[in-house]
Amino acid sequence: MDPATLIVILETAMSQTGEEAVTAAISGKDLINAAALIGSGICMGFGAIGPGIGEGFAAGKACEAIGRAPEEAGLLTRTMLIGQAVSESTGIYSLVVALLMLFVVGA
Amino acid sequence: MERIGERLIWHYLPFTGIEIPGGGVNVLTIFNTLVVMAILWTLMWVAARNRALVPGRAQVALEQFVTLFDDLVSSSLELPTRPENRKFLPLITSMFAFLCLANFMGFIPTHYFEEPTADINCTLALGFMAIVIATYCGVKAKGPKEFFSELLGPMWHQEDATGGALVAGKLSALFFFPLNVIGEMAKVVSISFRLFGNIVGGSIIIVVVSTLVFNTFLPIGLDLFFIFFVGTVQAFVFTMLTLTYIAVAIK
Repeated sequence: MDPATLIVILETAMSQTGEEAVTAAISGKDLINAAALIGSGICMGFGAIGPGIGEGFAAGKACEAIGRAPEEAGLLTRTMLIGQAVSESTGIYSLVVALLMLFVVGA
Repeated sequence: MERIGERLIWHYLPFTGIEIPGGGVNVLTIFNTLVVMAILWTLMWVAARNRALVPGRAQVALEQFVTLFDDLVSSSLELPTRPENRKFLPLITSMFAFLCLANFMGFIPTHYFEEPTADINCTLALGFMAIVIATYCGVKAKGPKEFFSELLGPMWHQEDATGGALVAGKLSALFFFPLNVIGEMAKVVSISFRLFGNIVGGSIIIVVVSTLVFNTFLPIGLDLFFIFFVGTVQAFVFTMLTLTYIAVAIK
């Protein structure tokens, strides 16, 4: 890409950053849609951090416990699954909120 | 894909102009619930048809299933006698069987078969039922006075040096009582939204990935994980949480 084209592109971009251009480009329902899509992405991304760490922690501890007492593996696996499902619920809440933003607010 | 999350709702009775009260009926949810119940009844009928001392294959399977949950209920509730534990066995076993089959309904690749548990009304009703049963059992086991004084917080029963009631302890109930009541209500939301979110999230992932890749084999693997594994685990978790709530309430 030669410098002349770059300057032209930059000038076009700069000329469209005026307030009128922005409000003409995106407003009203489109703005709500865009905000809902970005919001659902952020919601799901941050909401998945906590359950991921928590479930990994539970699985690691269960592995340690099974290594120490292999005959209790069934009980430990059951308890681990229930604990993981409980700690997963915050992630599921963020999923529900993200779905609401995607299909109800942004529809 | 634009129809994800939409449910078919009848606002009027078919072929008539009569409006259904309460804003309508989710027809497919009710239809699929009845289908699941019909399948369960058929399976039970087949298994319990020719009961014998030397059981057939179906009877062995059913006995294994019930025995598993019998042990589970006994080890969770830890009531002194077996008949007392067995009072909760039908609830727990049928709840697991229903939820498990209901989560598997998404495997049928037809438009009219969908998971009843992908409808928030179904899971909310089941969660509400679970909490109401747990509260009822708690009230019945401990007596209403004992049960509701537990809601008033740990400092309600505190006494000062002379054995008189502590004013600060009584006042702390103003803080603890709403907190505990909200906690009980949050149980309903948490237990039902967990099941709903898992099933809906799984079905959306299956639809999105199948639409994107146009592949025959990948959706089968997705079905195996998101319908069978997640469905079984979530049905089990819902059942175990109901059992845990009952156990916490009656101890």
